[in-house]
Amino acid sequence: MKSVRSVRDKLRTGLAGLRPVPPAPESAPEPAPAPAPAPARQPVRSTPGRAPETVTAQETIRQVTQLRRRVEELESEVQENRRLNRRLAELTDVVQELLIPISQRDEDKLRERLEKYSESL
Amino acid sequence: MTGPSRSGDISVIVTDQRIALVGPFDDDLTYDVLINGQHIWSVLPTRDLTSRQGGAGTRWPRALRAHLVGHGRVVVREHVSGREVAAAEHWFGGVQDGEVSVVGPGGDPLLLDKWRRLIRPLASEDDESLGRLMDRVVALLDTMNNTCGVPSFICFGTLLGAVRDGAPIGHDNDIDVGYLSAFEHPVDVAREAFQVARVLHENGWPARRGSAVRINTRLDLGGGQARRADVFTCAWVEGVLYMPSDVGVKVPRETMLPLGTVTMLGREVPVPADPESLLTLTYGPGWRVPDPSFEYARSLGLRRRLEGWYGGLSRGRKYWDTFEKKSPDLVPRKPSAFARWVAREQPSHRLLVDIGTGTGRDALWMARRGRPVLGLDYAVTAIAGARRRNRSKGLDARFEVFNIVDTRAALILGARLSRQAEPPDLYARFFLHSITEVGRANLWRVAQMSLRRGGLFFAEFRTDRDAALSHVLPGRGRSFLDPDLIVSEIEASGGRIVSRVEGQGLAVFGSEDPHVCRLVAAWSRP
Repeated sequence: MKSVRSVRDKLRTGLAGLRPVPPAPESAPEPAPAPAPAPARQPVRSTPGRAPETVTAQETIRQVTQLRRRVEELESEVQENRRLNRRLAELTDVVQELLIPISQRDEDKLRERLEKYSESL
Repeated sequence: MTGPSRSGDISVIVTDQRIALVGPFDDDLTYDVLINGQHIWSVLPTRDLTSRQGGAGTRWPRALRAHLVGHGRVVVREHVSGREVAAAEHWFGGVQDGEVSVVGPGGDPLLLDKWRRLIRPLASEDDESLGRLMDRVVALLDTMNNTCGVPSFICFGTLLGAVRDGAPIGHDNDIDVGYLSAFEHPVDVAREAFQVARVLHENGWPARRGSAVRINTRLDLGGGQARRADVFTCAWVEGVLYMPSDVGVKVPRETMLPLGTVTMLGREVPVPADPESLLTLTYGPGWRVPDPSFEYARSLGLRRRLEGWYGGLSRGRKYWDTFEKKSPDLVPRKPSAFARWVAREQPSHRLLVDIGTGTGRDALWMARRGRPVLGLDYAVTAIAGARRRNRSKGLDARFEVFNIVDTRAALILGARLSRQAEPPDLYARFFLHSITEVGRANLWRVAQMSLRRGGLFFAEFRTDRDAALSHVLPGRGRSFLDPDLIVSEIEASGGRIVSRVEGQGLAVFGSEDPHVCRLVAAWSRP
């Protein structure tokens, strides 16, 4: 338990000094894993019959940083998709309102629709 | 500061900058703040006050500060019981003569709302006006229910007042109504909302859109007086009832339909089927106890979801709506140097479309020189002011409300302009740096559609090199644009640059000499 506490403390200290991660550019590929520093590994958990899993504070910080960046990317991608709703509704509305007079080749009605549509926005 | 006087165990400390409570006040109780007998604010200590040694306080809200001049007897009272718990005398600004009075231009008492804006509360209306207001509400709901064909009802604060007291809430300043969409996909919900607004418009309820699911319309009370009604589109999406912009809850469908009625100031008004449940979900189980300090605890997820689906139409609009009123003499009445430059470099008698016309100073100057002019802006007050000046100067420029972020507005404008006998010129001074990428994309679309056969696009905007320079105004939502980016966007949309000038000395404004770029572009074949 002592070693777990030690890693936690290190993690807490590390995270406290962590700056917000700037969003990655839209076209940027997946961030490549940063080269691992050379930390002192500390066993945190062991299961009988299996090799003990180890993690370092620096690795955890790196993973958290990557996850934060990934969450930001995902959030902006979700929002980008959501924005399509209003966009699609706007386009459909304009097409629907103007298509009928156009297909009827009714020039007067089209002019009237354009004016009325504009006024009603 | 004039020291606190004590009333009971709690005392209030008042300075020009701050108000603080000291003593055994209840963190979770709403307290009203009165100055010279006028209720001006309601605070919830746990949310609105910051604890400091010996008490908890906050700065006077920004909207209030201009009114805090002269003597004020500041009283703090419990909202529900009305019990006075503390009082203090203070001479704001050291001014000995004159009393603090928080009133509007018409002398109406004002109150801070939950967004800390000064509003004219409904409590300031007399019974006759409130009656007329309710008649208009009934008429609006009748149009929505019977002509628009959507099940419509009072909601939010108006529903709360109706169920609790049979009357509008005194500290509210507008009316909230809603309707339940027949659709469940956000695209269809928004399309239906556009149609509802059209029908309302045709029936004498001009609507201004805040988002795809929120419009507001005017409730005319006669004698030049009016109140606003917010009209919300409520919809079930994937089993969750969304009531913009603050509610997203899983409730049984029977909560909403069939509609019932309640009596409000003697008028029958439609309400959702189970208003008590809805009020509990919206305001919590304590909704029966009045709380003017109430604020919605809206989750980030809900906000992002509703804004993502429907929002983005009114960014910065409040700032520009009140811009001229707050600073009436700030914007010069004379034309900008850019307008003179355009008139000199590219003289023309084509229609000039001034997008983001603001006070209309350039548009009106162009009109006086004989050009047909159409001025566009999304700030209603700006358009009203420009129309007024247009009339008083005997000019025949036209001014219309236009929101570049609304793709429908951009497409229709493009279509209207493309049908002109002669292609127009588009003019956008200090506009590009005030809009987002979405707005720019729509602007290029307008240009593509309207300048195909000729005509020019004129723009002046702040460059990225202006970011480090000093500015007279803070500028809400202002960005600083790399001219190469704008050029590449224009070229990507089929335009070509006719001329480009950058530097300082082009748009001097008082002590400010911004770094700007002037572009002239065309979309026709050379």
